[in-house]
Amino acid sequence: MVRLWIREDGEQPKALPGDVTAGPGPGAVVDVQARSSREAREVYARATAADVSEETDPQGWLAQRAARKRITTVRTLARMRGDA
Amino acid sequence: MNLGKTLAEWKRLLGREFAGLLLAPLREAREIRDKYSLERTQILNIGDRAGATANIIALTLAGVNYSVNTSVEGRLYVRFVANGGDWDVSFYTAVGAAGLVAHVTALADGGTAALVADNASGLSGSITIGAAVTADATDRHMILVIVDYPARLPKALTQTDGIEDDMHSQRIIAALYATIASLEEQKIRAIIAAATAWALGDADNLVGRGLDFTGTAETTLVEDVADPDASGNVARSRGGWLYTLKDAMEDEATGGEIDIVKRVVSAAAGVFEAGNDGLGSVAAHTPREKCRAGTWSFECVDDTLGRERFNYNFRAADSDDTLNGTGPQVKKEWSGPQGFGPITLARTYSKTNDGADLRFDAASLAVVTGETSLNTDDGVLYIKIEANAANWDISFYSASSLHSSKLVAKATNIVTNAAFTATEQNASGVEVSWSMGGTPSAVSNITLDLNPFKVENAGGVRDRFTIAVTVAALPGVIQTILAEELEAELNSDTLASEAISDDYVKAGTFHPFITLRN
Repeated sequence: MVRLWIREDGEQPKALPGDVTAGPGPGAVVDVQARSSREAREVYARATAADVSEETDPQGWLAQRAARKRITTVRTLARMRGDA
Repeated sequence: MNLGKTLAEWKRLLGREFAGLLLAPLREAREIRDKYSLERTQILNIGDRAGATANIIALTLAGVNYSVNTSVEGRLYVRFVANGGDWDVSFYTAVGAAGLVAHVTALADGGTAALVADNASGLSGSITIGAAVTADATDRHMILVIVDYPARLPKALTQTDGIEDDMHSQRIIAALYATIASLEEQKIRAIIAAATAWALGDADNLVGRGLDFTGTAETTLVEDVADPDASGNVARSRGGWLYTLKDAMEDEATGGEIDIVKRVVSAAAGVFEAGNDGLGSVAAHTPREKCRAGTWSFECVDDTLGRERFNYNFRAADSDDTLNGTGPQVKKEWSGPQGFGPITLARTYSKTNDGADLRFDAASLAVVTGETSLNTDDGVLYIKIEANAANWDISFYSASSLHSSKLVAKATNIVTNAAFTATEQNASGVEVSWSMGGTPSAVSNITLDLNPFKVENAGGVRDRFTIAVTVAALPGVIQTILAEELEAELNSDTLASEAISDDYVKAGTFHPFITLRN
């Protein structure tokens, strides 16, 4: 499992130690089922890309669905900003 | 490669050992070397504590002359006095507001201004003050000015006591400074050799600390060699333990991504000499972080049409370091040493007798491949447009005679405004892809000039262009040392987001100057 900090400064998502629940700056934190930071970023990119059409690209749709199942939110932006 | 190491393990290896024990002495040696070979005026801001935040954000000084416009030791006492809602800032050589040498008047919070010299001090520079300045006339706020040794020579050897003595003094002392700088270079080489042995191992320790950490078996710290392909493109083959470490830093899943402070490097678009015969362009690009600031100069050394090649010469911005070698071929991708590139030298075409783009699109939109001195007239193609019912035939010739034996490419039955590809004729090897204009007509006076580069242009010299590389302010200190001394780079992030702080390499070395060079 890799914990990713989803940054708001335009840089790519960054892996955090597993016991850390916030990044050094603003942004959400998610857990990704992956074996390396690089793989985790690829899974996250696939999961958050625009929805793939099941009709026109069934393989891509399956891959995106699988990627989305590998992601767990740890800390959302709303929670970080103190919203309910 | 995910090593599965904790952040603490990474900090021990990269922070306390590599940076703290090996790169820190290297940083010190670089600073001493520069102190005896450059002409910087460095500044320590001491006692700037009247308020919660610093009164001085940035300061530069020029014309410093110890004991003339500073104290004997090189101190200046700074006072901030309110002036309406702004600030008067004054610099003195002694306490009690004695020896005024420079000032600025009515500077707003957060403002920047040039210093005004007082009492013919000869001092100049600029100051940027804080966003929330606090009044301070305590004489506890001081500037300590450290002038590099070479810059002190003309200040002290003023020929007041004789020209000949000063001339020999200058020669002897300048030679001494060069010797000291050279000794620091030897120290730097020794540190790099030790770092290599620490990482990779030696006769007494076959697997070094670095290889043990990564579990790999590299035999070099860094490798970066040209990797050309058969068609003239040149990539780079990079390896060595530091590149393995870089990958492992990025892939770390247990300790989280490991990085140092980044170094933001930019390369401007190519600037071509006005006297060149050839015309071309190189787009701006982002080199790798290890690329040094300076100027890359490229000169045409082979003007075989279609395969013109340039050699490069690199001159560092802040030292006399140079590098030279074989550079790019026209229209091919080229990656240079030190992380420069990749760049592509593109041609800039021009055409005649169709200035309004009636018959063809702009020349810049043409794509020509396979050109040589045999299938062009020194880079010029002569074009004939003939009507073909409602459409057009377009023929390209290598001679103005437009003789059939000189036909090199042709496209037939092309619709007005349509794209076309003129394929080779007479086994010429040349192909032209372009588009017709909106108002073609049957003409035979248009030429397309590829403007090839020359070893000897009309001015009698090589065609030439330059590319400037700059590094943004506040580059990472560790990354800068790796780039300039090891031609290496590690995984990096923006300041304040890094896992391995630059403080590891600064600890116990020298005072933090306002503007850091090392």
